[in-house]
Amino acid sequence: MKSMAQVKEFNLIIAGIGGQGNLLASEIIASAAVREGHRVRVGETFGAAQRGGPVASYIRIGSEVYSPIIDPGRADLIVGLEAVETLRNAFRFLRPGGAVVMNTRPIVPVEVSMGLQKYPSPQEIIEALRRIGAEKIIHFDATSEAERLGMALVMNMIMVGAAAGSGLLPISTEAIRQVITERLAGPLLELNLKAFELGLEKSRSQ
Amino acid sequence: MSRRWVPPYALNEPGRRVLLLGNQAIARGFLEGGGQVASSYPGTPASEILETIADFAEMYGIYAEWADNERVAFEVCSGASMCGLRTMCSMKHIGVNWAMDPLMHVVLRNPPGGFILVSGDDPSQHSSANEQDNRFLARAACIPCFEPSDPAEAKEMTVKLFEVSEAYRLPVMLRVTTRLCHVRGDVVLGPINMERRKGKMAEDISWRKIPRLTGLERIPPHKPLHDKEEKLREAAENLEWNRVEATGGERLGVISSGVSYNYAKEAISRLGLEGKVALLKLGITYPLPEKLISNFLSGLDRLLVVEELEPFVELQVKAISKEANPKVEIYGKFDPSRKLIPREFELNTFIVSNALAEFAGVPKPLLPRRGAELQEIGKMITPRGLTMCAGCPHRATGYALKQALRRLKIEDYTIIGDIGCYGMLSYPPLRMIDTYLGMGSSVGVSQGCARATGSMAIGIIGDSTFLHAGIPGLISAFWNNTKIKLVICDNMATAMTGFQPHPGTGVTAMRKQGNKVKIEDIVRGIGISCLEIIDPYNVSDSIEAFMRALEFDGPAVVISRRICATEAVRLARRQGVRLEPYAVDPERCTGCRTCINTFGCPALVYDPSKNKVWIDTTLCMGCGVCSQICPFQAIGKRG
Ligand SMILES: Cc1ncc(C[n+]2csc(CCOP(=O)(O)OP(=O)(O)O)c2C)c(N)n1
Ligand code: SF4
Ligand code: SF4
Repeated sequence: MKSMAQVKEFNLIIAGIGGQGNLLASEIIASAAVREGHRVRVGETFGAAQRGGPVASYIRIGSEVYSPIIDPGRADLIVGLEAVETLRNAFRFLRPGGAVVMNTRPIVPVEVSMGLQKYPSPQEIIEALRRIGAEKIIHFDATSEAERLGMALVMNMIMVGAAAGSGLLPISTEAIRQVITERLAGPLLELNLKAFELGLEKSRSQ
Repeated sequence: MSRRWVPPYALNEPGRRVLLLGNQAIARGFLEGGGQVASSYPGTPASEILETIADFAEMYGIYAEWADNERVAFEVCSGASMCGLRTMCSMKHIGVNWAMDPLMHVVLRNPPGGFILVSGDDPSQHSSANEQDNRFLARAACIPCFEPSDPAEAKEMTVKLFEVSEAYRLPVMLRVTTRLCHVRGDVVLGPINMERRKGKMAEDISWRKIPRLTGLERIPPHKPLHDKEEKLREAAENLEWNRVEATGGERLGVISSGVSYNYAKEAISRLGLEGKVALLKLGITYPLPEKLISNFLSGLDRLLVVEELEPFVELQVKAISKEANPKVEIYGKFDPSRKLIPREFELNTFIVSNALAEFAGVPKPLLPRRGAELQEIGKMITPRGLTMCAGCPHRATGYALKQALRRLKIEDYTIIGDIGCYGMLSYPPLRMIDTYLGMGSSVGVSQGCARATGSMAIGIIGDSTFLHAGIPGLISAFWNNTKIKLVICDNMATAMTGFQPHPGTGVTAMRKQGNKVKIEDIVRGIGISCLEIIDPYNVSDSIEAFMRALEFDGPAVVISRRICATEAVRLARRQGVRLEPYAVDPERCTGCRTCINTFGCPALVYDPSKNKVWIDTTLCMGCGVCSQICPFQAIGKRG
């Protein structure tokens, strides 16, 4: 883990599609960063309520951070909740030597099913991420893991866990755990914490 | 009722540092500034302001509501302000177009209660159909325009702007953009202002005071307004939100405002230009602090103005420079030979770094890679646009309408869409909307098309949009007997902007039961005799109802009523009900893809290796429409 106090600029993108819980994931990571005394900016593009469109949250942590947007080629870490969305964001934003944590489960646009577009295979995506310059790639089917826990929706917390498990966040795992405990207090807390720990393990073991 | 988690914006813990969304910070500023009445109509990127206020309203004795449209919201706030209460009216940029009429009048009335109009502009059109720079509307109305640069400053400004507004007895505009509204940043909570005034129409409201405007001594009503503007121009000199940063640059300077300031600041440090370029940050962009700017200009050879959308500050600075320093060269976006900043879309540090590098004559920052060999990776990234959700009732409505047109062999028709999720009927596979303009315009535009073409013209509008702006259009169609067909997609929500309630739901912003407006009563009340009400999940009945409406010789309305699928999923989850997904029987599926090619629910996925369709159970919400469309009865409930 990086030393807490002197982060100047750490850029993280959480990429996915509407309905996957992207915003909650980013709110949790950013709140944990604020709790640890960092300067934080999160830029989000949401607005369309529908499920299925691309959604990306830009999380910027550090003393030299002002802009809420991450510039092309400056992301240190991309957490992708969906396979092609991971690649889309990595292609534009990942810095050479950056890292990727990816849910490999695809959500296929209707144009693909209609035969108007192609959707790349997981192998092609991982290969492409390498060629873009990703140094560390952690990947697994987080949706299946979530389904095994009994609720596909907690995939986002598995991915927050996986991001923490990568060891790259300038935030302690404990701070994230605390924020989840407060923010998600209620009947689903236990399941969400379980999902978080599962992601942490998955990521550490890769 | 005790709540499990008190959101940070509602905490009464002055001094605590929390993470807030820009919109939440503005709402918090309303609370700390003693706001008492808030009214709004949903619109991205501004919606969460009113939602946040409504969330803590009861706790702190505040009134917050959704109005039926922005004009009404603005009038509600005008009334509250004229009766002496602090009030806020928030809306997206184009909402201000609707509020413009009452705004142009209330500025003449001397309203005593602090009155903040929040305009949420949307550079890059993240969730809008146009870009529009509402600073010009502030100027047109002669009200000051403030632009915060981050959530913390937005909260601070909101608190103070109540005082500014009261000092001048004039509404003020807080102009924000998507990258302020939807940005989270650290904010320090301040104390909550618990002063609660009792409203009363002010004695000296100008209409009461000014005598009948007749005869020779007629006082121009705009004179006091213009005097206020002059005083505001003076006052702008000493605002804490304007500041000269990064001095030391004697010959090169940058002026920036609002969110753009962040990009300018990062660009200066990224290019190592600290100490070489002076930076003036503006928190007010109308009227401008002329002396401050004159002083700033006086030592400069060249100036770069960094702002989003129109050259609003740039043009004013150009005028100031005529006196202050006629030799200074002004770069920005107005003068074609000095254009370094685009006029379209939002900025970022990369764009501003490039502009600044050229301006300062230093090497431009490079993108780290993107050699030609990587371009093929770019090509393999599947494009993904917006789409209606799995199970969306609008898709079923569109399908039934299209089938009805086909069965009646009507080929010559125009379909005008409107603002809402059903606008996505224009994408594959349905592709059935020719065009659309702003809120409610499907009703009027379709009448123009009907008159122009003499053939079938159909409008498709949502429940919230119909109630916002569609009713006068329908009255006009009935009055003139223009034979349009209007489809009202009643999904019992303002879905696109985040599922806010509207008059047809009867629920208020503060989650109270108000009175329910019945859309069919309005339609019938107008006098429309051909009215069909359908459930779009029942495909064959819907097609038949559409056929009747299309064949009717006169204006006809079809109300397609079914709760928004995403709301339905959420409700079911809350009630602990499981919505059974559907499944495809691979024995029966022939791979014809009729379900995908004519209907296209995103939960239907084609597997080319097996030449079969399967249903993604993480998306399917069990509406059952696809099972009525499959020609081989291959789709049914699981298990
Ligand atoms: C003047 C104006 N105000 C607000 C908006 C924001 N807006 C976008 S879609 C929409 C309405 C959506 O409601 P509805 O018509 O019921 O359709 P739904 O999305 O529920 O399908 C609104 C208010 C706008 N585009 N223009
Ligand atoms: S949010 Fe509701 S109305 Fe909008 S596309 Fe989704 S299901 Fe349809
Ligand atoms: S039942 Fe069919 S149409 Fe409805 S959501 Fe499921 S897959 Fe889509």
